[in-house]
Amino acid sequence: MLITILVVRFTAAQWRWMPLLLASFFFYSLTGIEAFVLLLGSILFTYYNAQKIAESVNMTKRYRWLLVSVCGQILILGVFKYLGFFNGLMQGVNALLHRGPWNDWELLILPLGISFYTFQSMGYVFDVYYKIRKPEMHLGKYALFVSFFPQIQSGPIGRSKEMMPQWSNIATPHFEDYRWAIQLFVWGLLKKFVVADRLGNYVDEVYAGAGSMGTWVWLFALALYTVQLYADFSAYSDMAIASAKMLGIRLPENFDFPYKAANITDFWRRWHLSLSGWLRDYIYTPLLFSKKKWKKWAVVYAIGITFVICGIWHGANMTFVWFGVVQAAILIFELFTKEWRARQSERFGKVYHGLSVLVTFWVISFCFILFRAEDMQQVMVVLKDLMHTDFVSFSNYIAEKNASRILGVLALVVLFLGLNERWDLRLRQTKWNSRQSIWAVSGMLVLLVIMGVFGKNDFIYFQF
Amino acid sequence: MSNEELTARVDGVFRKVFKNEGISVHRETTAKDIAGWDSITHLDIISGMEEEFGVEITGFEVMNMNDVGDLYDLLTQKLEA
Repeated sequence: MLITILVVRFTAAQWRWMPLLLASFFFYSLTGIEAFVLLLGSILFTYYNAQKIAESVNMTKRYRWLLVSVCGQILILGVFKYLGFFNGLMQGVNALLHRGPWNDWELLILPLGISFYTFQSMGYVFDVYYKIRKPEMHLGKYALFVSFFPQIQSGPIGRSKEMMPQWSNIATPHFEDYRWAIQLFVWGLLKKFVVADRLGNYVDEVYAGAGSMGTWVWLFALALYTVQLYADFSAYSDMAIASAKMLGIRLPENFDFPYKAANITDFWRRWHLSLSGWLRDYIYTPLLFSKKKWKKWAVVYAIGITFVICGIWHGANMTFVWFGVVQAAILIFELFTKEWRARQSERFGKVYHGLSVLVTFWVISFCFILFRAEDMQQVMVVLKDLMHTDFVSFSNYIAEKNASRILGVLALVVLFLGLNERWDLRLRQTKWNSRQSIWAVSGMLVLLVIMGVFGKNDFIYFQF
Repeated sequence: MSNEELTARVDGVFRKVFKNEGISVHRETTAKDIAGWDSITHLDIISGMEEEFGVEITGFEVMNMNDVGDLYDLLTQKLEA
């Protein structure tokens, strides 16, 4: 990484795409040669399709080339990511129809970041189709757009209109940029190792004991997991944004303090912004306007399909399909109660808003059971456990864990949620001088060394 | 149709959709500038424009709109055709 930063810094702006592409290919090839070949195939496939779309004057032809591209990419995703899911589905169907056992199709490798780079290149093809941008004629720069190493593994998913123009004249990072990036990178490390992985220890233990826990232990674990997931994924995003900044590239932001959301609609405007924006622009809006005569039902239709896709995108598991279905159901409920809720908000003001934020936090915490559980069986076990409202298992849990540790972890959550926004904004919109920056970074590093939980987990979103 | 008439009728649709008589849009106005302009109100705005001007706006055309200026241009183009 350091070598790449130095090489990029001392290369002329118009040639910087070259060391960046080489570094991106080098890092990606370390994940396996098959995965690298697939990435190259995906780049060439979408590059060619976008050219064909742009060349076609006739709308039907344009649409056909779009279909070829989208179907081809879905096929690649299906073969490499969803074959196991398909095997499971077919076993269920065969059992239901009393047929013989399903002979599983052999699973292939799961290429790193395939969901992310597929969506990124698919978005580019959509942009060319909708004439939002012209196709990129330079294959090297297009390859860099798909494979840029700080973001290929877990995003943020870049958009062609923001990313492509940057490759032709990559900005020279200045001292201020490095300072900004180092602050953000260290903040990411702190969120990952002090907050996310520490909370993750508690969450993992509770999930490992599913079937023998009661309501209160689960409520504790569900709340911790929501904070863990946010800290973990926002940490990764911040580190990706910071790494790109040191290379002269601006990546899109991925979060807008989602725990402040006052309803689930609002939550999706604050959570994983690069994915929700992608889904909104390329799935939801075209679906919505294709059925605009249905009025409100067009929204129901578009939300339903978009969120099932959103669920499936996250992983090859029925838990994610249900996650999408539940999100869609809640969003549709919010659509039909929008005016009623607006009236309550006017009537009760801040009290209503505060309660809404609290309710939203718990609703999303319950939805994340589907995100965290290994399968639907475990989801059912957790839901059953949640019905056991006795305090015995909770007091046993506290005794086992030690009350002061539980209080400590709760204090960490409160402190993180309480200070996160102020600290995050200060780091991002820094008006600090060098000395203040050094103090801030040193302070974060000291906290990291003293309180960090190391050697535990990868980032959660690496699995997607 | 003159530009003044077009902008006045577009304003009328926005006022009806947002139930706010004080709204007035201009070429640079985007969804970020008006509170409550989400995808559902966007759908109402497009349907309202179709009704007001007797034209049809496709999903493809909606995808290409970045601001109200693009909407003015599209309506002008459709009305002249």
